[in-house]
Amino acid sequence: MVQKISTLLLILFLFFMAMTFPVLAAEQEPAADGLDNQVKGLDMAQIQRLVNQMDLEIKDALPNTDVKSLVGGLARGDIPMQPGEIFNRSLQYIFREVVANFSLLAKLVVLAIICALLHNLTAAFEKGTTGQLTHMVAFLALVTIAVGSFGLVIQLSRDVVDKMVVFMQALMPLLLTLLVAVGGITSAAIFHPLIFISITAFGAIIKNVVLPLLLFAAVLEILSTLSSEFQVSKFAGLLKGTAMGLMGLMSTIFLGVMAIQGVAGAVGDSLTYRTAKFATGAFIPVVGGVFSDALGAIIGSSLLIKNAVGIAGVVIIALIAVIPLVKIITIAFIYKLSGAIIQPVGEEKISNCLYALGNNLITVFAAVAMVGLLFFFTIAIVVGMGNVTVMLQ
Amino acid sequence: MDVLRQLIQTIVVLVILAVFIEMLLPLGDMRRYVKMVLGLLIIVAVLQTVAGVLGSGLAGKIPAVTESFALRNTPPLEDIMAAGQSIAAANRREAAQYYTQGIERQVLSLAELNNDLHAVKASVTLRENSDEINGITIFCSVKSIQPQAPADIQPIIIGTTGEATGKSGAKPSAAEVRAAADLANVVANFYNLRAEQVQIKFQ
Repeated sequence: MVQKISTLLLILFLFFMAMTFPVLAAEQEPAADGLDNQVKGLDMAQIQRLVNQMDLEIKDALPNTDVKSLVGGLARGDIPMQPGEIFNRSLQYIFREVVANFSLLAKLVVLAIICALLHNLTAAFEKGTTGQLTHMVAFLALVTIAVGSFGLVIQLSRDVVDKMVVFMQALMPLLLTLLVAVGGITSAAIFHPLIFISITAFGAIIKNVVLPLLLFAAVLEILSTLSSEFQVSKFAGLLKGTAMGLMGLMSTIFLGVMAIQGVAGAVGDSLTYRTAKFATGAFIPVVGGVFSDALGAIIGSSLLIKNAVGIAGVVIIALIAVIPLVKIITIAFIYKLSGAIIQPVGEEKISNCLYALGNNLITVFAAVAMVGLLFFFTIAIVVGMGNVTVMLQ
Repeated sequence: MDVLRQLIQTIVVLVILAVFIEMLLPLGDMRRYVKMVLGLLIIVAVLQTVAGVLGSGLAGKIPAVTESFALRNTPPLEDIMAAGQSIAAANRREAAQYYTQGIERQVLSLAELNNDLHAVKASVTLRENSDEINGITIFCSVKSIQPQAPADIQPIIIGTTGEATGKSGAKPSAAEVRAAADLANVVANFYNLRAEQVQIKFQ
């Protein structure tokens, strides 16, 4: 199920990438000063404020922290994209995070070894329960550390989702304004309530329902490892399954509604435009098309800026999400590594517990990545609708 | 979610209690009974939570809360439309400028086909908020006059009937007036305009 959803999302991702980016190359190149004037006229204060509030690490990765310059540069094709450098920096960051989380790994491994020792020394105590009790206390200490860092990750994920939602709420009015400017009045009217409700509802459900459900599932899974007699793993599975199902359902509804409404708006807009164009062309046979051609060329610059704003939005969304995502996946890796290291010592229970926590963290990673991906699709749909509107004209 | 959190807390406490009791109790039938009782306690906790959620009618309130929250921090559609349409209007003005320049060049090219006239400039005006041509004015120089004193030149306006209406002393020849009338007709027919919408002025 998850694999199918992942494949579908990957196909959609590639489709929307293809839909958004080539337009930049295909457009006519309008005068640079015209582009600059249009960019200067746009209200990007809120987006700029959000970019200014970003972490230094994220800002370093941006080619230009001034959003207007970034959009202008993207529209003119002045911003050089260096995939090699981005890849190297990402690797460096991942490595740095792994090193930074080695203290967590050390704590977990040391406590697990103590647990294993206590487990093996149980027979040495006068009463067997004393050994069991100390083993249990050490185990609970280990679980406390693991759950503590898991809780921090959940909090980090909630903050990221919040940041992405706030950024989208700042970006969408600008994109809709530019959509209206290129003639997508119906699309903008349809998208306005729809986008804001979808974004906020999706963000709120991931933040307030899915992530807590995953935390509860993780807690119950740990609880199940405490005793082989008293199991609540089915309850944990139920919570995890609910969270995953909710995520899949929400993303399907989100994408479906956006795509259908967007196409309906684009067709409506192009119909209005074509009727007006036909009227002009019919009355002035030779030069009837000249005005619409001139208007088309001018609209091209607005379209170019809209696409540049969209690309800048995608870049910023990616930067907001990428660092926390790297942190989450690194901690998941640390849990799994701890589980793998501990297993040969003979502490199967702790190993399973840490491995389960690692798996749950990967699910948290998927939830946050899904939010980023769906917001990327939203931007791509709005940008793509402008392109479709102009193309149908 | 608070309800669920409460339930999970209860379950955690019960399971930890069960684990410790299991360790402390002596081996025997008592363990089974305690396990059974704690299991029943967990079932009671779950059922109590489910009954509480169903009884509170919480699910019905969610959509309304979401919608009002979603649209609270967003600019109204009217503002977005107004901003977009102002950009569209600026685009339209710029397009109209390119359009009139293009038509002016076309008109001048048409005028240059006529050997009896020397067209120097064409001016096209559009109807307000429309791409329809309102009028075309072609400025021609009178061949008999030297163009060394532009300040003294007064335009001579010729309608499509070929009537000279100039105010200066420089008068176009009869052949030029005829050619001007022909050009005005050609331009009017070419652009699907009424005759009086095309004017030719002699400088």
